[in-house]
Amino acid sequence: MKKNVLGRSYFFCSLTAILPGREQELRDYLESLPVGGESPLARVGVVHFGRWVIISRLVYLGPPSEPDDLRNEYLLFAVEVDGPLEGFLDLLRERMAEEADLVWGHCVGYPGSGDRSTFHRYLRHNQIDVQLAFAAYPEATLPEVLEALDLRRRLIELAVRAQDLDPAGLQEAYRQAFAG
Amino acid sequence: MAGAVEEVKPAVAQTASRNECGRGIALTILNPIKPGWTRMVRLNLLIGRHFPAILWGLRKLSFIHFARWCIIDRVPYNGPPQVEEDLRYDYLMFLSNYNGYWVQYVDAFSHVVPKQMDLVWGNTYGYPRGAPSGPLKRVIRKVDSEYVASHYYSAYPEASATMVQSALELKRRFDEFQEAPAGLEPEAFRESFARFVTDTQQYL
Repeated sequence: MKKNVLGRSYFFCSLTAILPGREQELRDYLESLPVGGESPLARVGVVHFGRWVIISRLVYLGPPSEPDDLRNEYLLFAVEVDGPLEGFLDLLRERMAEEADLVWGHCVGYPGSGDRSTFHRYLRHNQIDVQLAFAAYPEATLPEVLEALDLRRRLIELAVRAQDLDPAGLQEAYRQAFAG
Repeated sequence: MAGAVEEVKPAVAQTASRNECGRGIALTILNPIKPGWTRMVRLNLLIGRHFPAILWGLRKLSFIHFARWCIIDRVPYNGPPQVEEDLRYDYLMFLSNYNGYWVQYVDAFSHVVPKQMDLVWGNTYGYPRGAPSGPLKRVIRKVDSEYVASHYYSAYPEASATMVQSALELKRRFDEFQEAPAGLEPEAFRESFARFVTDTQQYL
């Protein structure tokens, strides 16, 4: 496995320090983002799954370990995308620039999305590499997954309808559903 | 330590709603690595990377879309006003996107890939090596409840991992089906389509 890559999937993760006193504002903004198909991550077009998590402290699991304190609060951003990384970062910058600026604008050292090279450099500098990755379907890109799910849905519909159709009707329904 | 955490019951053990997007669920876990053991944890993960058969058990679980393990042995620094960290421990971070019930997820992990779990988490604090899944649930529940996503996204929230894998296999077989000679008479087409449906019903 190449670093952060499994099949055609790229596993990106960054950890960026939140500006002092800005954690709640960032949290409010992230929680106000529309979800599902309206999420800004949907516009990127290559993201299978994505999350932003605010890490304010490290969980203490009791003895024999000792408490560990963070000196800053952090924003964890993790996505599973169609590779390569450069392409994803370009799409992130181009298709959700406003949200990217509003999210990472709360973080230390964020240069903005205006300049490609500094935007890339910032996220790569804060990248946390993957040691081991698992994917249930590593060779499938997002368009392939969506196409397959849509095909499955249409085939199920036709298989159900087929019980009530005569042979000519079934052939016609099949042509309408899948031809061309 | 485990006793200090309340017992996990299935009825209340599902994750926070912000960790959910349709069927997709985000799990974010950070465990401190025991001092001096980071290299061993890294080596074990490296072995998993180069011998993917070790992860075949995860495929059996069939409800994980993507998962990853990272070692955080340095926290990225961006200059002031960020203060450089001086952490007591390195951390093992586990991120997963799965579907189903949280309790079942931990149970399945414990039963299907127990040795792999021991190899990966055995040198971290909070992991009850070789223990039944009850203590593990309490630990993961405690950590998971701390790291709730502020925003979580799935591009196909209606689909389980099994549905995606089935759909991809169905697509492959349908492509072959479509390559069959065109121009069949209706009755022959119906027979052909019925055979296709029968042959692929496990993916529908």
